[in-house]
Amino acid sequence: MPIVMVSVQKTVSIAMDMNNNRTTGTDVRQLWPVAVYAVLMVIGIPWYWESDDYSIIFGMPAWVSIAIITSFAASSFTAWLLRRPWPIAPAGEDED
Amino acid sequence: MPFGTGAWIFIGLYLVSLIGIGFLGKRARREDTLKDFYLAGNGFGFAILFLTLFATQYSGNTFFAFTGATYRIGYAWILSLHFMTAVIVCYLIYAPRLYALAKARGYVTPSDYVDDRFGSNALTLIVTMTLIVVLCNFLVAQLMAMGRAMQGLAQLNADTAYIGGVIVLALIMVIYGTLGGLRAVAWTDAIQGVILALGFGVLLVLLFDRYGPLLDATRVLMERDFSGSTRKALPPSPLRYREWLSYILTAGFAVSLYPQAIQRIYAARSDTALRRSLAVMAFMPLPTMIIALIAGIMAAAYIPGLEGAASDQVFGRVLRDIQEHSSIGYGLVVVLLAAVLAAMMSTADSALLSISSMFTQNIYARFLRPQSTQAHLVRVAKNCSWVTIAALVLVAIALRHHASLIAIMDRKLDLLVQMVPIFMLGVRWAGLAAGPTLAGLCVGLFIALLLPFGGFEFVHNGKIAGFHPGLIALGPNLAIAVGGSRFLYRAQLKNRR
Repeated sequence: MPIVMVSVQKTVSIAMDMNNNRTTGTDVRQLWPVAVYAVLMVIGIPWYWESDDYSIIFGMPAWVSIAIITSFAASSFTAWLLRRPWPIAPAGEDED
Repeated sequence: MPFGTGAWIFIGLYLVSLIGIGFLGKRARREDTLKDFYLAGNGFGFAILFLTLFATQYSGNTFFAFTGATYRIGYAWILSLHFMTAVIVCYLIYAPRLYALAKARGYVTPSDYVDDRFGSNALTLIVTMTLIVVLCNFLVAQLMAMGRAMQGLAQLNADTAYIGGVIVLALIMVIYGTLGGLRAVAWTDAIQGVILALGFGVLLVLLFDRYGPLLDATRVLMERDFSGSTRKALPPSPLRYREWLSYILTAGFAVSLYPQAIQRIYAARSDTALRRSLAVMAFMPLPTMIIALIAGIMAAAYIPGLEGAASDQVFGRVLRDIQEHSSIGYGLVVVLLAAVLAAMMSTADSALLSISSMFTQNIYARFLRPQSTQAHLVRVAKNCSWVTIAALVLVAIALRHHASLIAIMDRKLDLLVQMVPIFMLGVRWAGLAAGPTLAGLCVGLFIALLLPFGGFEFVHNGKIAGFHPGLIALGPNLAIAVGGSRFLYRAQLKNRR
């Protein structure tokens, strides 16, 4: 119970902090996932393919298959980012 | 071969069971408050939360608009896979902090956060009105998709099928929504989510059974591309690449900010439930978008010749074609129709609930009758749902021969993406001030509406060089919000000295 109290207080203090005129502290080093998504986007959009490419993979044009693979990579990366508790989340009843 | 009596009885029982769930939701009510009605008390655990997110996110658009878009532009609509994945990525920007704030401050609607964060009546009112307009647009698109589904399947006059479908399905939806609030909507979403997932699997089986391997359809399209009449299987043009990037950014930001999605973040029982739901949701675009794409590709290869708004009916044509020729039998097509209805209704009911919650909480209770009791507000919310659905059913009927579903979708994205500074920046940067944010929002909304409706020559198919007007308008919006806030902050520092 005390842990719940501390956590809720922390959350409320974050909420109150928004009324102050300063940042709530996003460290630039925390932005590396943005770079990963940008790279996946550059690979996934088929701008670098020859305009008359007729190659086929898995029954689809090859450029479509690459777009699907990069999307799967982005989904996996997102799920990986979501594996840890959020540092600012209030205590809740963790089920399951 | 139209649906037989048995099939319609099955669909009828399914629809009536939704009303039964509405009654169960009403019985499970713990208190007569807006919070209980719109956030289901303590909220949902992983399973219900995931299914309601899934059923809400994948809608009539997935089957009808996305299949229609694939039919028109070919494989390039695989971009939809990217932007639906981007939606989940964009949740990561604001959901953790907003979830924490919602639990600490007791938010019910997205506008509650705006009011609490910025303390500006004008900003709260404009955000609320914009979100309601966006949701009305969204709801009309879902109602139109319901009508198109009936047009494709019922053996009736096209207008009669469309109007009948819209009215009957809207009526069922509003009944269970007003009976049990979010609890009923999320429970029906859970059933609808399971049927939807089943339906996607069934669709894939039926498509391959009717049309053969995807490779054959790809070759048909490539041969047409080779003759120069179309470009549906070859790598797209540079204009399409810019559109692709624009969709990822615009739809990714905008769809993640749908009010009904934000309210589901509020309704999570714990951050663990929310994180797990989002982690699974990150993979859902893969099966859903790819199957919708395959349906559109099969249709483009084997049912050519539909143009304009008629191309949005192509999914109904595919279903009818499968139903008439499939060797598997029409039992599976009936399951698929149930899934299609589930997709549309589960999205539309959530939008309807969000509209009534924002009107009641942020307009009626805030500006019109601030002293209202919670029980009175719940009654107002229910009446609001009935009036809204009646009005939008009339709009959907009036628009039945007009705009394509994708064109409707694009306009609401243009408006919704203007909320990025408020929700994504505002929740992370305490320095974002109300005045500049309001000014930026007004400028952004003005530009986002002016560009597509201003009759400019440089605007083609509602986009500028492939980019959404909303994304272009987001530039000045952000610049004014950030630049203005920094200017104000420096001016305050100077005054203090």
